[in-house]
Amino acid sequence: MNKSLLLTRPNHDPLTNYLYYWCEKVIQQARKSGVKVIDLDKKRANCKEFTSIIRKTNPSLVSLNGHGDDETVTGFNNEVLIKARINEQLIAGKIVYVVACCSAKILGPSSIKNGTKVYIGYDDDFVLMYDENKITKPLEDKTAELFLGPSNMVLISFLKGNDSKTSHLRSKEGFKREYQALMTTESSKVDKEALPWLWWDMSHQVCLGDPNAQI
Amino acid sequence: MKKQDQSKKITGEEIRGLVIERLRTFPTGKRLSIGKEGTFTKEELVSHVEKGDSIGKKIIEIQLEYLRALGKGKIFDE
Repeated sequence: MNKSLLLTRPNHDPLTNYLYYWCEKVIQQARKSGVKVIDLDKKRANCKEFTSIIRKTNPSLVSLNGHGDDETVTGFNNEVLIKARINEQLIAGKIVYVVACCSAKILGPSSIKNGTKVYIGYDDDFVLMYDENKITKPLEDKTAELFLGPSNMVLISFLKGNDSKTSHLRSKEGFKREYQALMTTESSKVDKEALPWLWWDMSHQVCLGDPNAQI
Repeated sequence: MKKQDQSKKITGEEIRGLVIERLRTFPTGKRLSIGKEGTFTKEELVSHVEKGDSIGKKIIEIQLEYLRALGKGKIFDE
């Protein structure tokens, strides 16, 4: 198993475009940590390439960014990349973080049963609030940062050598820091409106599998 | 009589009204992306809750989960 990070990051709609850009921060950390990056970006986030590359490179850490439902995670133009009971063996033996809706409900537990080391994801919809004036510059969007900063902490923590339990908790603590800061009187009313959505994402991030696993 | 009033349950219509009022303060210029359902402006969020469709129901669920957590002090504890 290579100490490497495989990402899928399509960019075919506003949510995936935000995830696409915010993955840059994770890629930077991977390079800093000396972890090889295999980047299936934009149209390359398709089932054929994903299947071929994951088999060939056998990465220790997999980051899937896109849409999903209880049983699937998708790539570019919502093409299915992984589906429970169909091809979940592709992520067997790996540590996986999925930013997509609901996939930790069925796909997550099912993949753990079939050998995935760790599956961190969301057991309900992933929501993101963003500034429509920043849609062409997602990395400058302070509203989106409230959500995607803590989300990125899962992978950044793994890349720094932490185990899965710690990485999951670091991310949750990140969400908590954001919403507690928003609750102070100093934060603007506009920002406070992010609170319910931020709470939702934090509450629905789950960590399945081996709590002590490291990349 | 008083006891009876206290135990009165809030109706679905009242909950919907409460969520709509909360959404009216959603900032102009911001959008909310709810998974693959799409991205929504304040007006669209309100409209989905008013219609009571699946997106509207999800918005209500998110808002109620937050209000319950707030009521139980979970937001400060966790």
